[in-house]
Amino acid sequence: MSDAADKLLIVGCNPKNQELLAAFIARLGYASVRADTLTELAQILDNEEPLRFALVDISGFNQEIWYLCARLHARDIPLLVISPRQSAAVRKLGYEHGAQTVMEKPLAMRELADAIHGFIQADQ
Amino acid sequence: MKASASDERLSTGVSGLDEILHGGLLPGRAYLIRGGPGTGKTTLGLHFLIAGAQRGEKALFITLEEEQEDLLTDGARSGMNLEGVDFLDLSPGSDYFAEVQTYDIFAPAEVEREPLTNRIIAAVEQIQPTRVFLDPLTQFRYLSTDTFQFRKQVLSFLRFLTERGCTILFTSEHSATTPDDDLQFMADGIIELNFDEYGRNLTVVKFRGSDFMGRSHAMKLGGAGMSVYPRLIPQNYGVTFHADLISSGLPELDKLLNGGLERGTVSFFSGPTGVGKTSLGLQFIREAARRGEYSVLFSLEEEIDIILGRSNAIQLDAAAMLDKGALLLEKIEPLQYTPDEFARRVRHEVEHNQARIVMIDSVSGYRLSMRGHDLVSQLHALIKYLQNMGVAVLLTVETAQLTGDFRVTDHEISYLADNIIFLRYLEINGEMRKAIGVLKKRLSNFEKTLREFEITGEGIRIGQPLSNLRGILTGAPTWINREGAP
Repeated sequence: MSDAADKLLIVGCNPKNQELLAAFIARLGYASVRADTLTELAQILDNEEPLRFALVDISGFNQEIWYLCARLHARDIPLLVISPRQSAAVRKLGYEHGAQTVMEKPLAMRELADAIHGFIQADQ
Repeated sequence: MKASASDERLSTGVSGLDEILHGGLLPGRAYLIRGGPGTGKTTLGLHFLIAGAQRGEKALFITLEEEQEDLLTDGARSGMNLEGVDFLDLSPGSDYFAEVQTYDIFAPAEVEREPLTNRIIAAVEQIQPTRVFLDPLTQFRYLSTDTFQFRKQVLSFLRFLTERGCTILFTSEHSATTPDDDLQFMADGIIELNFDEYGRNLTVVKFRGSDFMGRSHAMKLGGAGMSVYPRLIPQNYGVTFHADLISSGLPELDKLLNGGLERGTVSFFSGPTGVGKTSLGLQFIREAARRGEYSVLFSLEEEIDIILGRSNAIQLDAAAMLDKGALLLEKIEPLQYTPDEFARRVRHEVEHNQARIVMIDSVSGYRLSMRGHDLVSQLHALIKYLQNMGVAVLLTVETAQLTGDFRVTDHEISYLADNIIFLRYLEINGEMRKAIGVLKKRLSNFEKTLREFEITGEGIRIGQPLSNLRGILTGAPTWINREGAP
């Protein structure tokens, strides 16, 4: 069983995407915590919940998402940014705000699983 | 277990199609049904499943598009009893539109395929069907990330079913932008359904492990579902018969024909409109009725009442022959049949009712009434079939010109005739008369002179040979060795 520290944070404003991601992460054997709005994300950060890793789908959020990404990075939480399209600008912004990697949608499940396992193992 | 190679065939549930497939489908194989929208793919699938269910086999319909309820309703409307057929409905319900939110985090192929596959596996393992109809398989294309994956998945899926002893029929929806060539290569057989300006037709283009009847065959969708009319291949039919002479019942006409017409030959009655071609045919039919034989007259132009009235007026009395069951007089309405359907109708009269004379009135009517193309070769096949079956075929052939230069037919089909009897108008001494003559008789000699032909209230009257006239074929003959002649 995963303890609280194993929780992965999934950030995104599309509930169906969030649901699918949570189910996928559960199948990999990890628990997740959802932030569907910027407010929820800010609260999680304020509460200083222990988190192993964050997946942030920036689609639909305003520029404030980058500020919150930077806060995640400041807490040493590995960050995977999910971009709605292939964009050099988004990629640049992602890396500037602490992303270890930037992936474009749609994500290939196998690739995402490898990325998550990789981050968790590196963290251990 | 995969079905072993044997002569066992599975009925498709459509007798005409079974005939085309030389008995039916080979079990344990996967067959593709191709066709545009509304061509009858699902109907054929239903026939296939029902045929299995009626034999006590387990039959499973996997629908990815139409709802089970709609399929049952439509099936019932077409008189198809789907009792005993199991359904796996994988079509999206209305809730999908109303409730389900869209997603883009993963490709649909990755999200949807697994639950769908699991449901199919569960249904197949629970029901253990021997017949599966999957409509349409091309939906799986949307659940594959690329064409390679699709091909691999389909092959694996079909193998999963055939290894469990299933025979599979699956449909494809294809267009110029989404061709289904890959499925065509994978399938063990391909049945193509088509709907063009001439009507519906079916073609088997591939059938691994078996021969089949090529070319397209007429098909109908109606109250009883699908009917297929295999193209008539004359050499597949034949009986042993004696080419006996059949008399016309008129001694002068028989003399002209050196005794009469032979069974198993085709005779053209050629001449302009109103000259008496149909009546001449009825003369042979009446004599056949006297011998106790059954004849059929397919009228492609005139109404039955007109034929009956006229025959009554000249003592040929077709009505009496109808009453005795010696004659069937059938009007073929314009565009009622394709040549294949008409051939099946004729075959029924020959093979089930033992018709010995078949008269088709007329060739122009056939060409105008039949739906389809290549009508001359279709008529040729029908005539050849009738000849092989020992039937005497009478064909009326109308010529456009009333008088003047002689022509047997305007249709370039005289090569089909064994016998050509022509009727024509003559002007003799300023009076309109008619003459009858024989131009060709393949199996015997014939009288080379013409005789006068007259239709009277007592019947057809054939005169003595017109031996003193010359230039008869021009329509305006002159007397030879007669006073005043040039």
